[in-house]
Amino acid sequence: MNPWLFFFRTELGISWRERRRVMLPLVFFSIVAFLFPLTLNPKGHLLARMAPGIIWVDAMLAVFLGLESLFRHDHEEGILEQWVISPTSLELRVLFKVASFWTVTSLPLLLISPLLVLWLSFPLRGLGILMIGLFLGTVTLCFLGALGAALTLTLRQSSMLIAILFLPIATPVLIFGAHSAVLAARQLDPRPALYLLATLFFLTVGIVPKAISAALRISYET
Amino acid sequence: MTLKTFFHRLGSPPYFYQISRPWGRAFAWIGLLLILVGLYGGLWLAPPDYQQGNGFRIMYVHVPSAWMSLFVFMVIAVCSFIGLVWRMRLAYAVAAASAPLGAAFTAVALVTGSLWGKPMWGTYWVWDARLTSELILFFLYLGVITLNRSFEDQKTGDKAAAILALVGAIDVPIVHYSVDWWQTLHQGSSFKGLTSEIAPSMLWPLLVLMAGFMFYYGWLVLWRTRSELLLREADRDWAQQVIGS
Repeated sequence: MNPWLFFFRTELGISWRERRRVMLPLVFFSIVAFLFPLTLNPKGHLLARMAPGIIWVDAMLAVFLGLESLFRHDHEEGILEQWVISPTSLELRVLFKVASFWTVTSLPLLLISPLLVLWLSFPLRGLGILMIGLFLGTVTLCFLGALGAALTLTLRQSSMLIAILFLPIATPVLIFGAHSAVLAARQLDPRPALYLLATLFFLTVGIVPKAISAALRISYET
Repeated sequence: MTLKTFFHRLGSPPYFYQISRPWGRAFAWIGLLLILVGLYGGLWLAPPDYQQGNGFRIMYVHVPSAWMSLFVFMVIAVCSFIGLVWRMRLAYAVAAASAPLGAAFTAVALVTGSLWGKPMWGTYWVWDARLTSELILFFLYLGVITLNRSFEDQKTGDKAAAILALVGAIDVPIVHYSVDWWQTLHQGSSFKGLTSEIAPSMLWPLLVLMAGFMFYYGWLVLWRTRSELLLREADRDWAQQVIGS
């Protein structure tokens, strides 16, 4: 078996051992979405018009929720140190680590997004586009968030700091993502927004693992 | 002295500490002069605008501040790059000294912009593309400042903030573009901006003030970098001598 696939599978297996980590973002994602119909008037078109924004902000918060523990365990157990001194590419390890983080925390969000679509009276015919957008967007958000987690690795109580680092950088993803959902809901051509999201996706996947690796190395340099 | 040897010499904090004093003084005087001339030209000599009356005059503070807010971020990004690649201590000190200044310029640009918006647009805040991206830039500055100060070891904080600044520097144009795109889709452009068709009598004070703000920043950043260096190198001989004398 390809060693990188093996690494990816091991990471998934470790996460699966702690199912709480898989469930928590999922529950959080549904509860936040469920608060909006309660606080806004569920009748009328207000909810349907707000649905794209609600779903995207909600997804971003759900990704953010898991970030603090992303590298924490590996750091405390000394695994990360082994990665840094190992001759194999740290960038690739980071890439697969974040990919497994995405699979565990964001893929379930994609799978239950049909439920949110029903709750928030988002038109069903836009579901496919919404899910494509969420796929591109959550991967990008995971990588940007992982950078925040890597930069604050050695700090205690880092979640507030991660929020300050991560949220401003992530605004373009949110803008294009929510707009792709709006276009989908109105049955307009969503491709402009999706292409831009895809651009951010490839840009982030290409560049950010390098920055994350540099950030992880800092923690072990001095 | 060639540029290369000058660059190598800058790697030495005592050398920088020595030469920054006359340079800082020169910058301070030039900046003060330019700002006074520019303000006189902008607030007294320039005629009132035919539409905005005297309200447009806030532009003489607003535009240079907004320009500086981007310029200072570029300075931080370049210094971060130099620090990470050539491990130059001075570059980190300049970046750390610049970040609060840049945040202050951004805050001034935001405040003057919304003060101008109240009489002109009828509200203090509009989700205008420029306002929004300026606000995001302000948050980025806060992130860089906070990250730099969060670590016990200053070197770790410097490097972490440097990586964030470099990623932020790539992100700033993307943010600007995305916000522009978003804004044109959601609401018609509420404001076409002060285009380059400004009358010369109104334009020259603006250019003078922009140059003045650059020198003002140059003075402040040299002054702050000196204190940063003293703090960071407090246990070295040269710093002990400076503090002692």
